Formats: sequence, C-alpha cells, structure tokens
Amino acid sequence: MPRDRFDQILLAALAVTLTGLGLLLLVPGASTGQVASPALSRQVEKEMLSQARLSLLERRYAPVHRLLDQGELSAAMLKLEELSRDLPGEVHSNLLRGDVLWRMGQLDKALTQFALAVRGNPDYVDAASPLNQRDLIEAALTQGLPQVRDRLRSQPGSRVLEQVLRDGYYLQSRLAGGCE
Amino acid sequence: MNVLVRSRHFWLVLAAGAAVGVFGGLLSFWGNPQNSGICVSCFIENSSGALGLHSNQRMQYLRPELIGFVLGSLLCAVGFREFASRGGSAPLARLVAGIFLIVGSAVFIGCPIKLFLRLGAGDLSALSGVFGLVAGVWLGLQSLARGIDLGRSHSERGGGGLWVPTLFVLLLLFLLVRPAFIAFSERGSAAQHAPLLLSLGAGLLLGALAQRSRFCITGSLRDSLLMGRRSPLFWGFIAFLAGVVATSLLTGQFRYGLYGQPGAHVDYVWSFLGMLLVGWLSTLIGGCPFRQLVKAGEGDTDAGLVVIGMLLGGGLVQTWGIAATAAGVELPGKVAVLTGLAFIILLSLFSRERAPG
Repeated sequence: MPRDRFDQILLAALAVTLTGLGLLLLVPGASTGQVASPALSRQVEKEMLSQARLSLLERRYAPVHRLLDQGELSAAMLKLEELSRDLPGEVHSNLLRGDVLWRMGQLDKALTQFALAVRGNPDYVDAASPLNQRDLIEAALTQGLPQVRDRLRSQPGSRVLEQVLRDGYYLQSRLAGGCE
Repeated sequence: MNVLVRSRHFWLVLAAGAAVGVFGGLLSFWGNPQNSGICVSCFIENSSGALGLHSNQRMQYLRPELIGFVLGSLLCAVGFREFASRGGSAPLARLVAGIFLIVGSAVFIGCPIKLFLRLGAGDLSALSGVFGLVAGVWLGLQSLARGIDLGRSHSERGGGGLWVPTLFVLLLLFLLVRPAFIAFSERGSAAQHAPLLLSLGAGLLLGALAQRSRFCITGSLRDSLLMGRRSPLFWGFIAFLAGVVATSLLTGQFRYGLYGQPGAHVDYVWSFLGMLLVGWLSTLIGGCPFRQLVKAGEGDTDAGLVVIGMLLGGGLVQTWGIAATAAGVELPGKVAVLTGLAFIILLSLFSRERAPG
C-alpha cells in the first residue's frame, strides 16, 4: 500500500504514536498517580453530594417522621409548615405533606403534593433510589384516582378536581417508567 | 404484488422491519425503559450525557444499541463492498437538521421508531405524533416535488466516511473500559438497560439488516404515500408494526389507554408539531434518525454530520429544558419546535430550484 518513502515515514510515525498511546493507557504507573483526575473527583463529589443530601433530609425531617410514627398527624403537618418556611424550595416537604394528607384521608390533596414532589425530584418514583417512595404513591393513586373520577362526575367542570386528575395521571405515567 | 414477492429485496425489507419491531419490544422486556426498547433520540440523549454534553444525572449511558447500528452497518457495507466515502450536500444545514431532529423527538418523547413502539404497546396518546409524522413526511414530499434540493453528494477523498464509524468504535471502547470521564447513571431511565451483549448484538444485527434493506420509518411512510402497496418498504412497515404489537402482547407489556402511559404526555398539539418537524426534516435529508446512523456507518459523511448534530442536540435538549416530560412540554420546548419549523422553511426557501420565468 505505501507508494513511496514519505508514505513509509507516515506509517512508521503512526505506529510509534499508537505504541506510545498504548503504553500510556496500559502500562501501570504511566500516570503520576499523585492527583486524582478531574473526572474522578467529579464522580466522588457527585456521590458525596448525594449522600450529604440524603443525610440532611433524614436529619431535618426526623421530627416529622417521629410525629408520623406516633400518629400525630396535625402536629406533623404543623412541623412541616415550620420547616418549609426555612427551605421553601425543598420538595421533600411536599412528599411528607402528601403522606400526612393521605393518612388523613384527604386523597385529592395528597395526590397534588405527591405530584409536586415527583416533579421536583423524580427519585421518589425510582426503585433504585434511596429516596424511593413508589409503594406509598402507588397506594395513594390506587385509592385516590377512582375517588377523584367519581367526584368529577358529580361536579363536572371543577377545575380543581380536573387538576388533581391531571396530577394523578402524571404520577401514573412516572410510575409506569419510560425514558425521560 | 407477485413480482414484489419474488424479489429478494422484498423479503430483506420484511425481515428488517419485523426485526426492528420485535427487538424494539424485547429490549425493553430485557431491561431498557418501558416502550423504549429502541429509541434513537432517547439513546442519543443518554449518550450525550455520558460524554458530558449535559448534566442530567438520570440520562447518562452509552447505549450499546446505537454503537451497534453504526458498526453493524459498517461491517455489512464493507462485507458487501458498499462502503464508500461520500458527502458534500449542504453539510452545515444537515448538522443543524440533526439538532432539530432531536428537538422534535424530545418534545414528543421519542423518535419515529419509539412512536410506533408506544402506539403498539397501547399508548393512544402517541396518535397525535403519528398524525404529525405523516403530515411531516407529506410536507417533505411536497417540498421535494417543488424543487427543494440540498445538492448532490459526491465521492470524497481522504476516507472521510470512516470518521463517524471510528468515533463509534471509540464509544464502544469507552463502554467496555468505562473510564472515569464517561458518566454512567446509577438511577433514572439511563440506569435501566438490557444486558450489554444483548443490546450490542441486537444493534449490530439491526444495523446490518437496515444497511442491506434500506429500511427506515419515515422512508417507509414516504414510499407508502408515493407508491402504496407496490413499495417493499410499505410491507416492511407492516411487518414492523406486526412485530411491535406481537412482542408487546406476548411479553405482557401491552397497556391500552390514553392516560398514565410510560414516558408520555398529553400535550397533543406539541406532540403533533414535534413529530411534524421530525417527519419533514427526515424526508428532506433522506431518512429518520435511525437511517442517518446506518448511512453514517456505510460512509455517508452527510449522514455523519446529522449524527454529530444529533449528539449536540441531545446535550442541548437536556441542558436547555427543551425535552418534554410526563408533565408536558415547557416553554423552551415549544420555542425550539417553532424555531425548528422556521429553520426548515428558511432552508426550503434557500434551497429551492425554481422553474425559469
């Protein structure tokens, strides 16, 4: 294939470059090993951030969980209101509010809160996530959606109920999976 | 019809269509996200994320199917002496077209293949996308009939057709070696995937079949509109649909209804417009996103630029919030689809060969 001397020089140079590349990648100790690569640092940082978030949520919302375990639903709701004033954008309070409302039997309001939580953080419907709350949301949907549909039949055109129904369908769609 | 049935090409198209449909269903049964056994746009978004082109930690994975499509096509084209470097037909416009192919698909939530996977699995909300895609292909045909021509491609020196396949060989290496700079999601839809060898094997087979048969979703719709039942691609499309529905029913993935479907929303107007954009563009540039990957594998550098554009688009739709979710289409998605339509109209105006005087 090489036609002249210049072709031969180019092929030889290519062979040297590829050999160098191979040595660099395959031979242990070729890298200085003193500083972690930026990509590796980013991965570690990502993992640390995720763990820190989880532990912050656990610590911060521990009083609410305690009240829920004791069955003191109104007190849990008041505590949630107090906590959300400090961190208004944190959707974990929506999830817990949904839980409290579901236990209180206010299914339509619970669905709205769950939808807000999942929109803000889809980890709540991710089976692989430590934040996974699929069972809770599924249970609320199974009970809540038929009720909302029945009430909408008796109050056709109710915008509030229509929005709750949309929230319910949204949650159903997220629980069903798909690529997004 | 008799002549058609006697031709080998007809049976090849039929096999390719059926295989795309069957593997589309099987891959989600084996672990890919629901109704996304094959979705070129979702896979492109995942791969862009893995390469660091966006930071959505739920959408980062080098999908082996994509690599398989390109390398299966490459191997087949080389084996049958059909590999040829060619290109030069409006390259920059094609790169931008690649971006907008992903924009349209991301707003609908799925490429044309996934559109029919969704429909075949009982998702009635995909119907608006079907109407949009057919309307887009029809508009593309009308545009071509009225003289819109992106220019001829010609054979290229310097082995230009090898660069995109080489990129995908590199992606395969990254997938196998998993260097730290490639991101792999541990949760979300990108963490759901079929076993690597099955995905790669299916991709290679489908890439090879599509290279030999020229099977493509928008191409099938185009030929069906032009030639009806006389076109082999019409029958390939029927085989594809039959494969999708049969696999969906047999694997228990069929879920009939309009609401609560996986990876779907009910913003019908935007689903329609998103797929209209994809159909129109695909007809003008000679194939749907899947076909562009296959053509890139056989040395077509124009298709290669579409693929590069799609990878860029995959990053942009996630970073700019263009991609729709089950909650619907947000403002950036709507703006991007209309911008895409404006792009096609301008491209058509500038690329039109008008009859003299």
